Parts: sequence; structure tokens; C-alpha cells
Amino acid sequence: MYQQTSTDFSSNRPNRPNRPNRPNRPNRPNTLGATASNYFYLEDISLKFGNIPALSSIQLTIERGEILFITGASGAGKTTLLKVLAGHTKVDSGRVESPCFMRNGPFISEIFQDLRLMNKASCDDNLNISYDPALYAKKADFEQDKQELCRILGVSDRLHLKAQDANGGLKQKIAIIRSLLCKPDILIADEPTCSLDVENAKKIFDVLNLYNTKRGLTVVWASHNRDLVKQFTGRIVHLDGGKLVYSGHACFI
Amino acid sequence: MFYLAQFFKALKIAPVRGGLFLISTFLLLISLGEMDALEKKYFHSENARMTGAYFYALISSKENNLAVARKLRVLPGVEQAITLSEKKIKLEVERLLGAFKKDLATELQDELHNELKNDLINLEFTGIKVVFQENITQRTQQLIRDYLSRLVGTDKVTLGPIKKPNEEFKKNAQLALFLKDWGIIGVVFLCVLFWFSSLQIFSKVIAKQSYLLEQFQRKKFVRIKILGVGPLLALAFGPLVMFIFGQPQEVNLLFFTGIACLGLMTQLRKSTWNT
Repeated sequence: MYQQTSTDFSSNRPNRPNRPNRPNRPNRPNTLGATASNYFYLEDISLKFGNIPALSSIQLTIERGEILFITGASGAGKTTLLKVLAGHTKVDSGRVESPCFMRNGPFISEIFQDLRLMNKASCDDNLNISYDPALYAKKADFEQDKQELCRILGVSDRLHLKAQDANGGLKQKIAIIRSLLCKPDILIADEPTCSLDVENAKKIFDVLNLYNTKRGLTVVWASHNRDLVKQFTGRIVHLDGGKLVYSGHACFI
Repeated sequence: MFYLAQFFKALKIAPVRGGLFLISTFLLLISLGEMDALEKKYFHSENARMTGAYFYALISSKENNLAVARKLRVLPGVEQAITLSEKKIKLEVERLLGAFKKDLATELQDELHNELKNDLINLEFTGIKVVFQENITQRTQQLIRDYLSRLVGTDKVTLGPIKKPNEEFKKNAQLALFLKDWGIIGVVFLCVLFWFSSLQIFSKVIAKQSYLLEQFQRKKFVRIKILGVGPLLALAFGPLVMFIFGQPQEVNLLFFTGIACLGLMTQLRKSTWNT
């Protein structure tokens, strides 16, 4: 039976009184099947679009601070799985535990396949949408972060361009920077480097890797380019026809 | 402040649709808050209930015609007693004289002027139009006329014949009555419709903006918060405009708040990119 529940991330509830220590149960699944260190827990989920199975019996756990690559051919179910993780799509059966169902949970930022930029606005304005005064003490801090990311990804000199006039690579970089500027806890990226060459893709991975190391950012990255993601460090989950056929680190493939 | 800035940003993106939303919000506030004042100003008609028979009375201007009219109004069988000023009566006399041929009119005017000079005829009259209620008996009508004669004094009043309003006047009176009863309600209804339509249109303008803000900032219900700026601005600055018409009706301001909340509730759905 289908159920969607939110995982109890105790560290995200600072006001909750501490419970007595339970030394032997640090990562043991609780009654819902998730642990405190898990962000996502999918248990035997299936989803059909009409008669076409999009996802079949997927069992997946994504831990906090993990970098996970979802690979597979076009139509394998990568985007559908990301939508399920982000809470945009409900599954037909199985259990989904995701932070998007909880109040004041970890913040999820997404890089969409269609990028979702404001075409009539400049690239700079598109980045400014991420300026949340609740996150940045001063606007200058935000500007500093923005300039830093733009410098690393080599777009500083093209921020004045309107998004509709920007090329595919620039648009993709803008979408990635915008997602990072909102300081997310989890980044869900759907083919974030499909318009970029290998060098730029590596640069982006380096940035994400840095955010992962420094800020504990959890990255879920969907890509059809398996050879590319093999070069990165992180767990790879391979989908084929909506089924999860492999889960493991790149070095073991 | 953040949502105010976003509201003006949206106004800058779509000035026509945003302007329509703002105007319709102010119109709704004024139509509701000044319902009575607008009804009196635009839909009140003295002819509305005066479909009964009537007569005119000319009273010496030395008498207080306002007091006489007031006493007549409280009589059973009297629908309305309308005072006519001295100036209005003089204009009516001139209109009647104008109906004659020009030379005859001049002659009559000269004649009257001489007689006035000689103080033989005194034209310094004020008047009262007394309208009876519908379907009262002739005896009652006569009693009212007798009362007026005695009240003013028979030598100071000249009573005209009792006339019945024609069909055209009755139709006009019915229309006036309808407008008096339903006019302002119609206006408010139209304002509500206009506001809801402009809300839907402006909501589409800010849909993508609010979606992105929800996606990339830790904010929720951005769309209704931005839209809510419109009614809040109207409530903050509207009463300043409303004092032109008179004291705003506080209860109706609450109605405005209720309608605004209802409208905003319709926008409570989650923002999506493709709206």
C-alpha cells in the first residue's frame, strides 16, 4: 500500500529535547524504515503512466551528505525517480520518505532539465532570485558568493545577457549557480551538464564536490552519460526500463 | 517589505494587468466602503416613490415653506412634500411666458412688471409639491388640502388642481425605484466581478515569479502574499480617498476584507512553472 511519510531528522529540530543515548542503535532503521542519517528512503515503489511502467519495485536509500548519480538510457525513469524524490510525483505503490513532506526539513534545490529561467530577465536577475535575506546577513555576502561561483564557472562577463539570448551552456551554468546560491541541503539535478563539454562538466562536479565536503550538501545527479559520471566520486545507481539494476561506487564498476 | 517590492516588480513587468488589479481593488473598496454615499449621489431619485396623485401649492414667500412641508410629510396619505424655491417658480413663470409669441410675451412681461411696480400683484411665492400615496380616497386628498389651507391661511396659499401622473412618469418612477433599490448593489457586484477577473489575470503574471521564489528561497505561499499587497495598499490608502465622499462605512470595510481574503484563498494552490 502506498504511503508517503516524512523522515524524522532529529538534527533539524533544534528545540526538541535530547533523548537519552542509545549507543547500540545509531543507524538502525526505525519503525518507518529510515534512519537519522538518511534523507530519502524508497521502499518497493512502483509507478505507471497508463500501461507503461515508469518505475518498478525501486528500493533506494540516500544518506545525508552523499553524492548519488542516477544513470540510465533515455526513458529509463531517471527524471521520474527525481520527481518522486522531490515530491512532485506520487507513486502508485510502495513507501516514500522524503524531506519534502516535512515542515522545516532540509531545503531541496533543483536543477531542472528545462532549466526554468526567466527568459526576459538578465542572467544576473535570474541569479538574484536566490537572494534570501534569511540566509545571508548582508547582500554583499550574497554578491560575493555569486561572483565567486560565476568566476569559477567562467560566466562573470556574460551576466548582463538576457537568458533568452544566452547559449545552452551559459543557461545551464546560470541554473546551477542559482541552485547553489540558495544554500540548499540537498541538490537534485536533472541532466545538469547535458549542454556542457567534459571539461565544464568536471568543473561543475568539482564545485558540487566542494559544497559536499564543506557544507555537507547531498547531491542527486541524473545523467544518461555513464562514462562521464564514472570519472566522479560517488555512488552510481543505474536504471533500466524503470528498474534499479545496479547500485555501487564507480570504482567497482 | 519583501512582498511589497515583489508586487512593484510585477507591476513593472506587466503595468497594464497590474494596474488593472490595483484599480479594481481600489474600486471595490470605495464601492463597498462608500455604498450609502454613492447610492445617495447617483441612484437616489425623488421621483422613485412618487407615483401617486399630486398638486402644487403656491405659498407666500413670507411663510416658512420648509416648516409647512415638514408638517405635511408626517400626515397619513402624504408620500412626499417637496419645497420649490422662489427662484424656481420665477423661472417657471418665465418659461410659461416664453411659450407665448414674442411680442405678446414682452407685452405681458411689461404689464406684469408695471403691476408689480404698482404692487397690485405680488409674485413673491414659494411653492410646495404635495404627492399623495397611491390609492387614497378623494376625501382624504381633500382633507389634506384643507389642512394645508388652514395651516398657512387661505389668503396666503393658492392650491392647484389635483393631477395624476401619466404612464411615462410612472414608468420612469418605477425605473428610478429599481435603480434606487438595486443600482448600488449592481455596481458593487460588477466591482467584485472586475476584481476577481483582474486577480486571476494578475495572478498569472506573478505565477512564475512566485514559483521561482518558492523554489529558491525558503518561502511559502508567495503568490497570495504578493497578491495580498493589493488589498493591503487599498486599505491603507483607500480611506484617504473615501473621505471625499464622506465617512467610510466600517462594516463594509470588513466585507471588503472578507472578499479580499476569499479571492486570495482561490490562489492558495501550489505554484507551478506551467501555470
